[in-house]
Amino acid sequence: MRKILLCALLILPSHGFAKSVDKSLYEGLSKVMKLKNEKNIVEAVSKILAIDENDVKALNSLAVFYYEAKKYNMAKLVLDRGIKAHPNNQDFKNNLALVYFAKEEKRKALVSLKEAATGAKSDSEANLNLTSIYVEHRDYEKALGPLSKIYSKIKSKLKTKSRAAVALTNNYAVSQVGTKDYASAEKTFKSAQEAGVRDTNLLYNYAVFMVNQGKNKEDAYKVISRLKFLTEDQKLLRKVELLEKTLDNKK
Amino acid sequence: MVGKILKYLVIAFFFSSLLSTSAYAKRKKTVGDILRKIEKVKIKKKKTFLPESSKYLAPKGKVNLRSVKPPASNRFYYDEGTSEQELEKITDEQINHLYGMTQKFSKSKRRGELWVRLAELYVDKAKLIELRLQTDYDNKLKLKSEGKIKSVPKLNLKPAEAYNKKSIQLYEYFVRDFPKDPKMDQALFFLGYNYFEIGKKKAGTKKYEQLTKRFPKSPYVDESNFALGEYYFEREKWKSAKKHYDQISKNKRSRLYSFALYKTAWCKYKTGRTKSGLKDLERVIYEGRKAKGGSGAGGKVSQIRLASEAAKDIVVFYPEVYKAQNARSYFTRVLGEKSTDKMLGKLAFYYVDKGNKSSAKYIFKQLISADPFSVKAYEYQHEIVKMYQAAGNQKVFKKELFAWIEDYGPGSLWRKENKSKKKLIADSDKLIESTLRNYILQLHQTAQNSRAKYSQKLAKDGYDMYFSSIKDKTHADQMNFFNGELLFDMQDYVGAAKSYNKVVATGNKKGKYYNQSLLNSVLSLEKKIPSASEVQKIVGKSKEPVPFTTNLKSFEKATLKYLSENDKGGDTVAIRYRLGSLYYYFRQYDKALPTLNKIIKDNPKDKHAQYSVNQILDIYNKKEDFVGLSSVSNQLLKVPGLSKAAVAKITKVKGDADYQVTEKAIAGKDPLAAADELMKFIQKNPKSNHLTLSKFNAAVNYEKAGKMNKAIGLYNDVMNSRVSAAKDKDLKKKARKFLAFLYERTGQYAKAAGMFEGFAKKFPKDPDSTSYHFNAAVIYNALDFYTSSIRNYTIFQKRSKGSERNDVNYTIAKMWDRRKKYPSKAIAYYDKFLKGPTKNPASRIEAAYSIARIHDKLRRKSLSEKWYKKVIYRQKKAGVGASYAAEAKFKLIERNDFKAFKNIKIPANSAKMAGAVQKKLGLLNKLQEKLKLVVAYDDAYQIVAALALQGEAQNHMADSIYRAPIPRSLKGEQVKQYKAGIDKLAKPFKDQALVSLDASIKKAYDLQVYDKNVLKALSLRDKIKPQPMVNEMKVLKSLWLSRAGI
Repeated sequence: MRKILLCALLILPSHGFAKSVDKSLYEGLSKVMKLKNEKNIVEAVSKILAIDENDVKALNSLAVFYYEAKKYNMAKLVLDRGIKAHPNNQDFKNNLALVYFAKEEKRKALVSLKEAATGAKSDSEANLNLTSIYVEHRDYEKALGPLSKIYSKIKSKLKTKSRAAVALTNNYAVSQVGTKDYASAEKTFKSAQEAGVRDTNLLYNYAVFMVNQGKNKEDAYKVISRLKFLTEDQKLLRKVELLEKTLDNKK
Repeated sequence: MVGKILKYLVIAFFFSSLLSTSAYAKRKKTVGDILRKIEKVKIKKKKTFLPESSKYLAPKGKVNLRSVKPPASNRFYYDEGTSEQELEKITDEQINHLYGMTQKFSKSKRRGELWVRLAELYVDKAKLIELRLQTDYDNKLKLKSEGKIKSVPKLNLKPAEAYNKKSIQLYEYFVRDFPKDPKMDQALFFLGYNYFEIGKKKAGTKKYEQLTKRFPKSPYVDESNFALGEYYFEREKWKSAKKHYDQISKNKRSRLYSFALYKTAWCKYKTGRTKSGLKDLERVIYEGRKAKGGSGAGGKVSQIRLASEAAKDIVVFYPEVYKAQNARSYFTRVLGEKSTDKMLGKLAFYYVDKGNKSSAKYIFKQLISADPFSVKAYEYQHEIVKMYQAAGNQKVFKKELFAWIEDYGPGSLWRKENKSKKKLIADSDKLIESTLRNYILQLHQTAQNSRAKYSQKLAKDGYDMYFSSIKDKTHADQMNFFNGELLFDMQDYVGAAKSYNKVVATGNKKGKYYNQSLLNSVLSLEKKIPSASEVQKIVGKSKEPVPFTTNLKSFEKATLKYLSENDKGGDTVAIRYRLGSLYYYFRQYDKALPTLNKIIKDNPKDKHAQYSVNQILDIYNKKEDFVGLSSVSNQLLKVPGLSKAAVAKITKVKGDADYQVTEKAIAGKDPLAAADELMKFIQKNPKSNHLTLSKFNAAVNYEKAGKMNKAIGLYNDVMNSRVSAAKDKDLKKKARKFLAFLYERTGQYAKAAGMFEGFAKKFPKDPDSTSYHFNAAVIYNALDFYTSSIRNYTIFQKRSKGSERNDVNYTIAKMWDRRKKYPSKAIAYYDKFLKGPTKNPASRIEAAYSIARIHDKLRRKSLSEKWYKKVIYRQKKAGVGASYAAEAKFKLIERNDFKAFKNIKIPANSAKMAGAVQKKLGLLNKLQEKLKLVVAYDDAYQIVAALALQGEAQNHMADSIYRAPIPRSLKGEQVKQYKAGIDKLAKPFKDQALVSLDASIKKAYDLQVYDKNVLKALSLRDKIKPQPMVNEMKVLKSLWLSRAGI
């Protein structure tokens, strides 16, 4: 197959020129990204790429837009281009992994995600996603290391109710439970609670932990009570009620 | 891309380099090409007419001497030297006197005598008037023939006739009143005479006849016979005339004897009796000689004068009777030795007139040898020369001419002998010069008319002789000029120029031939100017001034001389241009520029001004001095009066020059600076021919500088421009091509796809068009523009061959597969792909697997299994695609072996229970064995899957045993024992299941396999041995996009 020439075009035509993209262009791009209008986004991206055709932010934003618009092939096309220009860029690889996940190509997704995480900052999206997968598949041992590092960095963001921070804290706590480090788990759950996290899944997990490992029933009831107040998910509510019964039955 | 940019920068450089090279053939037009189209100037040499031959050379035809008549008879009534005027005066006095007498004695008896005497005087008076009128008439005729007077003279004899009439009146009175008077014969004679004179011939004849009848012995009979003879003579009735003359010549004593004899000689001559006539003339001469020696005329007609006339007439009669060789002895005998040479001279001239050249030449030569150093000798030889020249006998003429020049010219003995006669010498030199000159000019004329080389050579020899023998410079200019003309015609241009230059060298600017020689010298040397190809050879590739050849130096010198004296007008412009262009061709630019500039300044409307413009511009162009070219273009545009074409050309060249300046300016500059420079040019020259190229190059440089938006804008300009030049059309095409890539590079994929497809459609024969369809297809595919994508893939496929063509089927199959709604189309394309060639065997396995998967999803069990088996088979054969084969194998085992195993129920019937358990156990073993085949593919995911399935099967085995119905026959403790036995039987399977599941999970963690099979294993394990808390806990498994700071 005569492979598309596009990849070949990604070669930098000249390395001798400093490419300075004006900050305002990024700001413009940032604005239009929120509007999710393809025409505007492409226009904003093209302005940046016209200056630096391998600009990471522009290419990634374009890929993110296409990903979110479920145009996964387009997202992949752009990400492939980004990776070709920036082989060590974890953002592109992380997003490419997500594209693969969306296309139900898990094998490729995991490969890409692992590549994205390799050498990446501990709190990178790739690590976040990877630990999420580890935790989902109860590979707590692998998850714990990165999670502890990420957690130390994002703990402070819990107050902002950052979804990533909440998810990471939750998964970190679950991993601690999975590795039977209950003391740490309790601390983790507690910090989330203290930060005012209202995520029902995290609260449920905390409730499960308190019911099974908690030393203070009152605290457990508090969590259950809060959970019952926050959730409108009947299925979850029933589970919570079962927990409450277990707690009731506990000496 | 870099390669492509370089390519087009090379193109741009190529355009510029054209301007600085000398090879132009078959290249696109450049400044140089435009300028080099230089029209050659042809200065046409004017034809100069040779001067007409002088009067000496007027060709003489033969003269019909038979028409010669003797002089009028009345001339012979008076002796030579007699004054007619005096006579007339005396006659008038006598008439007056007698007239008075007649009046006084009008009634006298002797009045008749007075009448007769007065009548005689009237006759004399009439004769004198007639003579005077006749002489006057003859003179006027001569003047007319010489062109000195315009009006045709008329002979009006009425004044004379008036006296004749008066005489008739008196004689008639006399005959009437005195019929018996003794002077009656006289009266009758004069009546006859007067009637003849006034034209009344009949009346006159009647009177003469009365006279001869009535008075036969009267002395007036001779007179009347003579008058009658004259009457017939005048009417060329020679015989009748002779009859009356004979009556007179019978009487030697007659007053009219010699006269009658003379007229008789002429009558004989006219009637062919020349010899006899000659004898009569000899007699007349004899009588004249006698009379000269005697006492006088004695009332006779002047015999001396008659003899003198007869001697002259002998020259006319002699040639018809005797040969030239006898002339000397004849003339000596008849006329005496003293007159011989004179008469021989006349005879020779008579021969000349008669056209008898040999006789004339004989007599002339005889006369010359008789007195070789005489003036006449020189003239006679000249006459010979003239004679033969007029006759056109060139050979003899040339010989006689050279003899003349040699014998009488400078250095001759004749000249030495006559050196004291300075006027004679001068005249002879003049005559020789003029004769030779005229002869040469005549030869030249012949050569000019005939263009024959022989004639030209004759003329050339003539000129050579002239210059070698004639020292007098009076006509040197004329001869040098015409010699130049001849040599020019003979294509001896250098010789011609030398000849013309001799005229110029005299410095006689007012001379008739000076200016023309000045010009012709230039034109002659111009002919020796080398041709364009010769110039090319001489000049070669030199960029330095090349010295002129000898001929060119001469041309330059002559031209500068001409121009110094002819600043304007005529051929000045063309000549100046010729010199200027030579300077130009020989790279002598310092000389060329002022020369060409002067043409433009002085004659802006002349075509040479335009040529000069071309060359001036090209000089700067060749010097690659584009700044200078631009500057000089500006200066030229300020010259008023230049033609529109010239202005247009200058404007165009200026635009080109400015472009070249820009090109030079950007050389070596970084692309951004270069592009900005080009933009300045574009802004300054919005109508430049290089506009498209400039925009294109600016775009290329902007692109190179990373200013792709600017590049896109300019490429769009180029693409949308209206151009006609092929090179610009090519740039348009390339701009479209580049735009496609630029859109792609700037993330404008939809536009890029459109541009790729647009280009491919517009230029289907372009070598890249097929690839561009492919590019468009790829982008459209990514954009989920399926129809557009497939349209382009299809075109690409049609134009492709082999595996590349077949691979498109795979891509299209995947597209349909992705769309999910068209599984049959996906299957059809996968199938099509599998039937064709490919260089990627793994894709075959994947394609087969995809077909199996689609069938599987559509619950087409047999078809899916068939294709799963194909996957296994093909993988085994190809050695690639193990993961697909492993998965296919796993799926076949799962749906067949595992399902068959699961389907075996353990009955409550204890008799059948063991058999069922055994059978199930057998299938479990078989399943486990088959799962080993899956593991053998060494695919991590399928290893995990196989272990998980094994765990599931073991767990199922255990559960089946546990769930087996308790035989109804068992009661109480038996049941307990039974259950213990069951547990003992089932538990190992449970334990094995836990081991398998743990192994699956552990393998998954080890191999980093995280999929549904791991989750399944975890789930099963939770059922067997739940992990505290975590099995209940929820995992937040959201995936996070990296937004890279945006």
